[in-house]
Amino acid sequence: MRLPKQPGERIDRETAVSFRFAGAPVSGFVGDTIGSALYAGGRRVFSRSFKYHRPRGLLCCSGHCPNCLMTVDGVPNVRVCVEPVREGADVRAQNVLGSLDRDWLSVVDRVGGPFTPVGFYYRTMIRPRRAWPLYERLLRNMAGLGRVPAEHEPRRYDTEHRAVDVLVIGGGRAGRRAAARAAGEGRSVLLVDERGGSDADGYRVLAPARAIGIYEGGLVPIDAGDLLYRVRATRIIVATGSLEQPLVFPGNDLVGVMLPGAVRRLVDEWAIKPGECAVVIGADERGLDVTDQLERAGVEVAAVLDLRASDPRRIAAVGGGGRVRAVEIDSTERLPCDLVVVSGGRQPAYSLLAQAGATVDYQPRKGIFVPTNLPPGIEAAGSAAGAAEESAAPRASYDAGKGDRCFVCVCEDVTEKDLERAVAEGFDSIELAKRYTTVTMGPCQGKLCHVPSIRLLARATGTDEDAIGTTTARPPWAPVELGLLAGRHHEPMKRSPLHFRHEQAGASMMWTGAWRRPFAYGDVEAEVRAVHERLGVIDVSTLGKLVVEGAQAGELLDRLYPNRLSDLAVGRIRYGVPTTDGGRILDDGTVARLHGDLFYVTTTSTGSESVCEWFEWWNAVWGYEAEIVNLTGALAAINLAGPQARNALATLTDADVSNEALKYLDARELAVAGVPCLALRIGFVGELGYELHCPASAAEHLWDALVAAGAAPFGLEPQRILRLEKAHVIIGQDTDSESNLLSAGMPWILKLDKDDFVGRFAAELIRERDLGERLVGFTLPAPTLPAEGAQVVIDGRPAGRVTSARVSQRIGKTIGLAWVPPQLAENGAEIAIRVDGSLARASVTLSPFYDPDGERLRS
Amino acid sequence: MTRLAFLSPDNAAPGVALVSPLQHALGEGVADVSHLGKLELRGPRDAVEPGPGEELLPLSPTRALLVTDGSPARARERLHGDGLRVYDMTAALAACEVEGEDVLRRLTELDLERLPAIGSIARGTPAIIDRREGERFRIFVPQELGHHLVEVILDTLRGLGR
Repeated sequence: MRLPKQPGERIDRETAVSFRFAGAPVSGFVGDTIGSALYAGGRRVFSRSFKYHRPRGLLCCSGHCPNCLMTVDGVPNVRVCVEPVREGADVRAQNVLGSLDRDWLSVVDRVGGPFTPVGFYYRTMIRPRRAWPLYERLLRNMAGLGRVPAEHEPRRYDTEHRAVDVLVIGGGRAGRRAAARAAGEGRSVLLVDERGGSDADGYRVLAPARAIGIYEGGLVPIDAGDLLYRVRATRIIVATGSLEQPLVFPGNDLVGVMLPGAVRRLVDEWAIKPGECAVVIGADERGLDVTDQLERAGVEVAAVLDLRASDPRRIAAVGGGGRVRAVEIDSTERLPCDLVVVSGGRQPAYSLLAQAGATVDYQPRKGIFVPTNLPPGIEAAGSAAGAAEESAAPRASYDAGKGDRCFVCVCEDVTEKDLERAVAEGFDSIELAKRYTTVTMGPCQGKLCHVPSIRLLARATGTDEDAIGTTTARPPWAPVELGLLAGRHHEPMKRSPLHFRHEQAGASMMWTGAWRRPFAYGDVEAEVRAVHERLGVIDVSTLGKLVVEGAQAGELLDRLYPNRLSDLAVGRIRYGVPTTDGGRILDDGTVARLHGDLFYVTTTSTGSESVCEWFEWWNAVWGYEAEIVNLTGALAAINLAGPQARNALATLTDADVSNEALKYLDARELAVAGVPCLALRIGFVGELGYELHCPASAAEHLWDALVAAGAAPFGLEPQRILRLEKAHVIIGQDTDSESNLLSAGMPWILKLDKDDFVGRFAAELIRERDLGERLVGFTLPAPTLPAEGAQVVIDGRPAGRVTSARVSQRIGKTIGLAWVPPQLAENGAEIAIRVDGSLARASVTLSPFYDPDGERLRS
Repeated sequence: MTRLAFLSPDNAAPGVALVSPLQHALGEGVADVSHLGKLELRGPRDAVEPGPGEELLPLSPTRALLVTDGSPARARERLHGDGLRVYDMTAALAACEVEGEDVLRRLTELDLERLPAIGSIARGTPAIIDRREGERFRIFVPQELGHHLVEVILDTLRGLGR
């Protein structure tokens, strides 16, 4: 049944919409919300409360409170009072066992109350400890909000960026006025309105949409359903209005207790009669004015209690079946009714302003908190600024000390007694009480319970609201779907220029940082054998590649590396390990001198950007005449390795690649298969090898030519075995942020006879002191294989850890690297390593396991 | 001949097929312009006069990217002669063009009225974005992330119903 046409009604009575609630058909009109259509159809109980499963009905009708949360088309926690009706929607109650009207879990309310005070699970469910998972499951099943469906069609959420001069949040009178004024000044203006609306003269309107926070730099995320706007504005005008505040009294959560705004919307917008007989209790004029709507709707007004004129000690709503039946005021009168309209004044909606950095002060006369000291670029307009009408500060509670149950927070079912108990237990600041009782932490995020809880805390601690203060305002200001914050599922993946060649060759790919790289192309052992016995080829394009060029490039590198590089001959390569100013290993790679003033530096795959930034940062301090250029992406790099590498290379180039013309640690520019290359004769995998660096766009051609010349592709796993046979460390795997050159067994790099360099002071100190531990090689009988990270055990105590371990067919043993105490860093020393729960005896080896003299590299 | 010849794809022999980093990613609505010559200039960029078919995108007071649809080799020689350090980034950067401010607004936070600019696109991919005629935009990203960018652009176009 609807009222006759109302002056400002939003429904289109000509266009019906039907949906289903709990399987039964419900009809409404275009312009209705699901909540209004249900109310018009006679539904009064809309939800069951979070903890006690008490019946709850429409309270605010503004999308603030939790009382109308339902599951709509599988989406939980939809505020149906503001969710427009849509044809065919499937609407269901949530957090109930049975039905909304008969919820078996309401037994908690009837018998569980004394056993479930605030924080009961912290005290009563802690023993036996093993039972906690059971308790947790029980609690989660009995309390809470809706459930995320196990299977559902993922919705699409997008993100859009906007930049404007002025952003106005709130589409009420004050917001519209501010927007028009800013637009008149020639500014680009965007207005966000929760309710709806369209573009106006001179400014754009986003509606229905809500700002969910104000972040640093004027960033405001705006929830527009499936689209998250990230708006940056130089001026932000907050016109979020004010929030009607409830009163705390026995029975204040009964179905039929409403805020004035709910009555206004039911009557004015949807032409629905909210009840038959009402009692109005208010501390402000606007709250009391709701009698206009009630009379227009034909609701009998049994009484109006103006809290500015009278100050009763006790107000109590008396219910039956969860619904309000009467109101008692100071026990002198009992007023039968089915609707109680309460207003504890209007609190400025300052949360966004506080998030932006405004301070919040209490005004005792009005009983509200108002924002002050707004930061630059942030403005408040209308009632959000505290321009609310005069009102009386209501009592903290109208229970008159009788100890009846009065709800402060309907989201989390927190009562007056809960807060008093929290204070008695020592949680007497608002931030502590909030965390202990969870008051203000529910779906409304304090919109309806923040001020009442501060009042109660002030009373319980014998102070005042100003002394209690407010909790920290944090986003989100309004509930937001996590999917909207997550956005599209795009994970940046770096692909080498040879990525598709690897896929075509059937490589199994793995993540290494942001890169996808081949783990192996098939048989790992066969790939290792091919490198040792014939010819292999691996894509090492992910290596960082820098050019350092300039008259003082050598001097710069001498200060960045612990070894000397300025004396490197043109065309020669040296291994380099930059360290931090604390002497810790930062990265490693090679440095080749291509010209007198031009060095080519390689870094680890993960280090390319950080090393480049490190070089640039230091050079900004020192000011050497040297450019540092990151060429990592410009160049592919392919390592051709194996005893046949020279012969294969010779078939693809006119250049002289003999051992005399291109020695170990030589660097030469040459064309291979018609591709311009820089060839670095180095050997990470322990065999004769050439690292060929070429333009990324020519990489496939070069790769194809090398494979056609007989090179077998090998992946990262074979490479890890090969490098371990040479005891070559991988920075970040075998070393960590504490490792230094001496402890990692690389004292030969440190040149303390040269001038100052980054980390020198620390290196000298480290040299004088106990190293603590040393990185050593070890062997143990195959196939026993310790996990990476396995404990090294000495005298029954943990004394080190394994960083790398593999079974090497070539060596015929399990080989690895481990950190051990310095006294054990001797050839042949015995260590115990924990493998699958028992101890395996391993033998320390200080030299490479394979080709210790490097003859194969130089051959 | 400038140094670092191994940086320049155009130094490859005529039979060498040069491959775009976007070769396997492309779809309707994205045009691949990765073939354009891209030279990073270090030094006083005020002295640089872009020639015909060239565009100079400033990166910092002392860095710029010269984009050319002509011969990068000639541009390299000329600019080297101007006393600048020139690094051939042709193979380093993938480049594509897309149409529509609405697409770009979903991809980047950069102010589309103040282009060219350096920023981030598609959640953290470093990019140089330039505005062409009307609502056509040219995007440069590291080539290793080019495929990813095109995937995101195509997904964004789908989200916009295109």
